[in-house]
Amino acid sequence: MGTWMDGYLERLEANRRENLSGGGQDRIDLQHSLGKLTARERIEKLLDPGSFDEIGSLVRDSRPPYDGQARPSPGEGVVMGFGKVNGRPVMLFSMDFTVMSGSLGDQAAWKLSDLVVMAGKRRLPLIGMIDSAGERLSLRDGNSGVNGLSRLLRNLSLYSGVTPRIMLLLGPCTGTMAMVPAMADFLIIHRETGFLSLGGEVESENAGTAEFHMEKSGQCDLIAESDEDAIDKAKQLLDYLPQSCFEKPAPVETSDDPARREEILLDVMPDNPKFTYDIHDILDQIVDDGEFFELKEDYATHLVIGFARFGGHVVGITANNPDEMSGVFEIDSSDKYDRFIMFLDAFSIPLLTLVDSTAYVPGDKWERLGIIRHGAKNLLTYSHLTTQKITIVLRRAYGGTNIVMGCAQMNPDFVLGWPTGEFAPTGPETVVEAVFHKELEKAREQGKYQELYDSMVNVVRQQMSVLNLSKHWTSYYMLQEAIDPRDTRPAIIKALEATANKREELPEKRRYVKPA
Amino acid sequence: MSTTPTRMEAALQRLREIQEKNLLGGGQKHIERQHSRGKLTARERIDLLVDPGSFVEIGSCVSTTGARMDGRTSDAPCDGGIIGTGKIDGRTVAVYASDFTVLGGSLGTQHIQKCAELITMAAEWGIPMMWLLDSSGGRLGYSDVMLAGIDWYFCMISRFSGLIPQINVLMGPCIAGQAYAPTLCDFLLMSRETSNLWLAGPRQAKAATSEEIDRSVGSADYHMVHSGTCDVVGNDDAESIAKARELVGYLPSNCREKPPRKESSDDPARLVGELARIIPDEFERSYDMHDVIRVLADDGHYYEIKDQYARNLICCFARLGGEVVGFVASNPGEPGSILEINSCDKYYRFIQVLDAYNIPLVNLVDTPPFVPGEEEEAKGLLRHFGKILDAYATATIPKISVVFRECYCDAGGMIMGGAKGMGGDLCYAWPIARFAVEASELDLRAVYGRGVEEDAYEGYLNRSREKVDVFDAARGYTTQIVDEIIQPKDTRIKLIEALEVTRNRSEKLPRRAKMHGTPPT
Repeated sequence: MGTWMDGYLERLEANRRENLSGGGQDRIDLQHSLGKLTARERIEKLLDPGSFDEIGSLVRDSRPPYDGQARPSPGEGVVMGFGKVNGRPVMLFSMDFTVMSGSLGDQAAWKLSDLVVMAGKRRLPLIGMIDSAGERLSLRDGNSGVNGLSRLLRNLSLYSGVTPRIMLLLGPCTGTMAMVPAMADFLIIHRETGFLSLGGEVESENAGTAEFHMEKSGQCDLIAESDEDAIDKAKQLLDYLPQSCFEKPAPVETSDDPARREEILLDVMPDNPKFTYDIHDILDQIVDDGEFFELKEDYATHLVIGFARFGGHVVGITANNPDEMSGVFEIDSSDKYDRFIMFLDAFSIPLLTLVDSTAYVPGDKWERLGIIRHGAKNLLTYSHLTTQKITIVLRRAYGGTNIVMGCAQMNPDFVLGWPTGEFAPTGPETVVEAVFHKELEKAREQGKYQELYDSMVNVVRQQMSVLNLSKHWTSYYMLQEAIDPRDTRPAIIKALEATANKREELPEKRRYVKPA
Repeated sequence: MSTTPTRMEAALQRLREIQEKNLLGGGQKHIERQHSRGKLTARERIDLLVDPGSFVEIGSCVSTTGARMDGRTSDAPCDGGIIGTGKIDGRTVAVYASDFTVLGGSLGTQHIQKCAELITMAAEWGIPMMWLLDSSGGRLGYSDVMLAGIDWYFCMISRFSGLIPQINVLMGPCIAGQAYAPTLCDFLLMSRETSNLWLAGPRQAKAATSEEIDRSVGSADYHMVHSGTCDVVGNDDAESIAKARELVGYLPSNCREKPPRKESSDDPARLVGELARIIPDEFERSYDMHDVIRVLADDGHYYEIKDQYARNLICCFARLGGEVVGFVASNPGEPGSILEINSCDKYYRFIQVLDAYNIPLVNLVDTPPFVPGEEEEAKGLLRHFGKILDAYATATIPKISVVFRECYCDAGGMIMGGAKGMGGDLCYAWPIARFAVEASELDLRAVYGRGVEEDAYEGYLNRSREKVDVFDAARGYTTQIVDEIIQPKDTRIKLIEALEVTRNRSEKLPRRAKMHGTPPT
């Protein structure tokens, strides 16, 4: 060996050592004392051993220190690169809270912005671990961080729907940077350490926390109890996702019989149609090995969403839950439904809807919040789905819900249902009162009100039965086939097989105009 | 000569009878009732909407084919739905009008099919679809609707959304499922006294939830002020329809065309020195941005959308040098941040329309240093903000902005063209302008703590909070905030110039498997 490498390898090694020490041992100890892992420890937990290849490790904040006091800035506070999760290549970043409280600097903004493009072009999932006290960007002296940050947000938009993005909030995140996790497809927040806010006034104790964003804002998909738990959940979630929109999620071998019938499904429903049941009791019976991976489970609980497998293939499930608010649709469930079905469609994941809902809620409170435009939003989105769509009507499919969840004329691939199903604009009682109010009034005078009312409701209910309506193939209120509840699982698996190669085209246009 | 009419004569007589009868809709009694309610008939409305003599009806021989559950049948000319084509300022449009004098304008099988087919034809022919709506909704108690093989009009409106402009003028009730139709259209105009849009009217609401509501709920002003569902309110049928005609003038016939140019005598080189008097250079003094728009636009004309909803953000059409633009402007005259959820929803709808129909976006920026707090966060502020980030970034129309005074990224600057990395084309600023990354005053150490360095703000975070003079920001082109500092009096000239140079803008977005991404909702 000549002398040409003299000193260089040492400098490279020094850079490596400097990077490993992040913002210094004190800050690392503090990070641990807060119950948090360091940026690099998190990467180690996430990736297959030895699979991490870092890029941008030479980057430093080379601007003059703001207060004149120099601070270490390895990687400028962002550790990123590529690696493997259970053998699958991904791109990832991890913000280093030990470096200037994880705040976003000029170079860091550009690193992240370019990483998003790399993931998009290479068609790899992007996983981000955020732990950042804000931004240290400036508009003076040609500082380019705001350009980097706005490019980051733009790139997240341009490559949305190209590759899946999962973000983990394992500390704070505020300022415009708060938009980064908000743009992710899925957001996992640490129960204790997570804090997400644009930076406005905070009043209550739990504002910005995981619980706040799970129960109120609807911006949290999963709550994690620890860094390890968050990473574990991200891995589980990734199992349901494809590498990009041009691939399908990998099927897995399953020992769960595709032809499995479940007698117990005959016992889930209460005898009185006005009573409720928990939709999970049905879901648990029909999916592979009873494994249903629920998302946003404490937000708009009357609409359940999540992933599962059928015969080893990934399916996205949306289901009304009659146990919560009778399974109605309102503003929050509309938003929850909308985003999830858009995600499924973007990545060609089949959509299974299980319908048992008494409709969108009426009245002043909801009208004021724009209940109609929220329903219209769902209609517009469903109309643009071209992925496999399978509708199962369990019981009540009333009002707008039967339409937005894929009634016959909304172009689902299959509309199946249990023989107990009913299609109606609204419940039979309401129809009778609206149409026959004159006749009922007359009957009241003659003291025969209840008699007439009951018989009318009975007639209307018979008419609304799927077994009656499905005599008409041309109806929007129809089932292509009624199924024995016990056969729900095999019926779904067969429907998935039958539609595995489906294609569906939409008119050419620049974009749709979606209700807000 | 035989007195017996020939076969042709008899048939012609029959056709005449049908068409004459159609003119009376549900009959004189119902027409008078319609008038006494302050409403026009369907045919009177069509006459107001289209150029004189231009209406060409189709489906005029259609009548009802259904019967009520108890066997009762009714006569229903056109089945209560009149369709055809006509012209607005010489441009062809498709027109659907529900006839309230015929069974309350309710949707029978044939009626609904006429409507759905017309939407499909309009989409295939590339002409705007105009709705004149006044209907009691689904023809309840009639069983035939379910059997008809109808095309599902919600699906039609949705799938053709963004392909042709769909404009809905609501002049009567619109209840339950039908309420989705006007809401799915690009624009909803409502008549102040006579229209109501409800998921459930007073009777149904009472039956469903025992709640008593009156007709103020779901009225035009209600949906304008509270729900943000209504775009334009007219005092009566004539005014609502006139406003719909005017609106069509700002839109192309379909997404493949540009909106119609209109020559004006207003000089493109007109100086607008008065702007500097309207906009005070003392930042704590406010002003009404409408006054600015009036000065900038050709002949002072603009057409505002949702003018009583989220009034801190103005969305309007206007022309500059004859070309249509969409203005999205902050209004310092109104309290509140333009990043509130309602203003985001308003912006979201408007920017989609602009991008769908090739209309350039012009942002007029003056965002007070205010970041919405917990109340808005609890309702999902970030995902609503994210919706606009996505729509702005993926909009391939020209995007031009002028910053008058204040522009802060976290107070709206990011979605108003105030940070060029978002994909804006040209950003101009007045010489008094001031910028910052953060207007936020949150002290994370106080509300969160947990290891945030004691000297974090003084040490490095305050870099983002420094308010920077436009000359300092413009000095570094790597900062990509300002393209040019302009003289206030040249503002109109610069905008017209910018529209000219960006006229052929085209941008190819990264290829996706589907036409949509996965933006926040």
